[in-house]
Amino acid sequence: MDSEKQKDEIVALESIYNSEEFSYHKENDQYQCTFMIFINLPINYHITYKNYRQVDEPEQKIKISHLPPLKLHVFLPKNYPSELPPKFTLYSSWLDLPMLTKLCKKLDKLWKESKGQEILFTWVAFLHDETLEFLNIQDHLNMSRAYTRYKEALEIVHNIHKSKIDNIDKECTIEDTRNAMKKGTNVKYLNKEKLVRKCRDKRAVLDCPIGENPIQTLIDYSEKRNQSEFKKNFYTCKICFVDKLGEHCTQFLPCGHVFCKDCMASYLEVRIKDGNVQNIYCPEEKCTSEVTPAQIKDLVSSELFVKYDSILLSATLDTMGDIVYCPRRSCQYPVSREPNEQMANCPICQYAFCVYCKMVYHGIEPCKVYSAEIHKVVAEYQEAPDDNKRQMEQRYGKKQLQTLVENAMSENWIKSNSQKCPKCQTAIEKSDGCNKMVCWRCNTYFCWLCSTILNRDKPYEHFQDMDSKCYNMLYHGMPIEDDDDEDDDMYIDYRFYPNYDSDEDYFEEIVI
Amino acid sequence: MAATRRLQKELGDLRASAMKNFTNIQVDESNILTWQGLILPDNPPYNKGAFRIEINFPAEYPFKPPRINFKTKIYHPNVDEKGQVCLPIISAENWKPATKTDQVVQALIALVNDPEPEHPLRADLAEEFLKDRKKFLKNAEEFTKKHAEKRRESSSSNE
Repeated sequence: MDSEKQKDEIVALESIYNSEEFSYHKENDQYQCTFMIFINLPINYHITYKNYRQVDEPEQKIKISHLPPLKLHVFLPKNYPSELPPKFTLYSSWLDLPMLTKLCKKLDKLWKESKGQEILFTWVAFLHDETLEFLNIQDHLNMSRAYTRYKEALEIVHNIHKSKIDNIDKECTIEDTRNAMKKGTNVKYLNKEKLVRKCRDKRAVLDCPIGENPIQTLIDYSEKRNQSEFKKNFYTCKICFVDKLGEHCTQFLPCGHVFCKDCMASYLEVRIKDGNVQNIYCPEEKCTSEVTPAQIKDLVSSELFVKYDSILLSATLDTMGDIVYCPRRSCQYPVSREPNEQMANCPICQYAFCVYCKMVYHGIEPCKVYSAEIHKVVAEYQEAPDDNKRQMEQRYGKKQLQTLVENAMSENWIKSNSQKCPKCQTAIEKSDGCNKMVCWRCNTYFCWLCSTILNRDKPYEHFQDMDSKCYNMLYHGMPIEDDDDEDDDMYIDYRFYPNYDSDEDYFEEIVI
Repeated sequence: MAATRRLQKELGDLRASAMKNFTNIQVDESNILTWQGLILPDNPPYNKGAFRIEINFPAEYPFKPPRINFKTKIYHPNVDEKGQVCLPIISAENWKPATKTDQVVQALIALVNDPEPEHPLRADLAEEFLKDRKKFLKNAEEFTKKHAEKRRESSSSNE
């Protein structure tokens, strides 16, 4: 009689639950069944945890959508259901022993209430539907105890590891943690564990992997389950309106909108080929979730991803005001410039350049206004044979070319023949005379040789002071060889009379 | 082609849903990328007539937005003399591939019903709309009477 009932019950259960949820086998003509009970969590379910030994550490809160299943292992005695209840063991990786014990007692109670009847469905339905409420954990699950024990074990391992370091250089292994876990529970929780053990139901089994962070284990499980559910579900792509398996879809976060991979790949290709790669949002109307680089990498070809990456980089750099590209054609590295700094230094090729004219950094000298183009034309014109000169004159106009040549020549001349007043930067030409100069513009006295500003009252001291680098050089630098005018004698003479002073200075300033 | 498949689906849905304010949808069998239809705005002065629009879908649709043109002349600050209209929902920077043509058409009708003189295509009409509403309404009504197509009341009142 009982065996018939058992057989019928198994058949019924098989039709109710899928193979993941229910399995059985027969041993010595007796049924052994395993139920995996996947509890549906309410939306916004979360786990909380803190290390009890760190008093000031705040409690952490993490949202999860799935918890690992409870496992109910059942053995059906010969005289079930007429006389005896099934023997069972209840496993969980996230309920603690007192909670599991409570559940075991409840299963006993359910049996007593309907003794003699098939009980398995009632039990499984209770565990599936009412566990959270029954244990008063329907809002959140506090994992602090397990977490504290894990942390404690880690500390012990750390200490063992430390003491071991002198002897053997050994990595901290899970085995160590396991041993420490046992030790930790033995030592630290001895009293508590004793108490728990006293009232512990042997049918309640903690099924958590020892030595692993229990919080991370639950998070990983929830995430894995989310992904596998996503892959198994069907979604209607709102771009092509086709229903597709999650496996062939991609999801945007945080909005959660789902589109098929084919459509997203085409969309990304269009955007990248157009060079329009900034702010690619979820295709849903008004949605502001952004596509992640990982999604793009997953969806488009590697060549296209490289293109995406480089366009995005340069587009981003262009929007940053403090980035200037290295002007060297072979380099082109984006160089960051300091605010209010005229010089930028390329970290790759070491080129130090002016951020305005992109030429070699020219210090306080203003950027040169004439362009390389003009120089080229002028040089070409000057060197060209007459026929070509005429051609160029036709093209550029004779007058303009002559002006350009004149300008270029005078610019060159200024560059090679003038000095700047150290005070007002006016270009000064020295046509004759000694090295004590007076600026026509600001009246500053300065040394032609070293550009030092000279004392107004004793300008010649600079050339008389033995410690000065221009000692005895008042007339230094005046050409001797080519100089065949009458002043020659005088020039040589005066070299030997550095104290010579006169109201007349033998120089002339020409303003350019 | 992705565009063809999606447009066939959209067209089928549109015809099945029989929108009241977007009717007479005509699509050339050989070219599903060009649609024409009549929009029937609710607000005066445009509620007296029907306005023919043309929707042009690019080959890359729905990854690139469609373009809309008025085939019927309309006196409206946001539609220029050539029938071009500036509709944010189908601008290149705002376009979302999940946006369906019926949403685009509804956005267009909403714009016709309530002009946005802040960013006009015809500054003269926008100014008139803001400064002399009476005159604007009168002009627009006359313009509608003159240019817009007749509404076939019978087809839209069989509730």
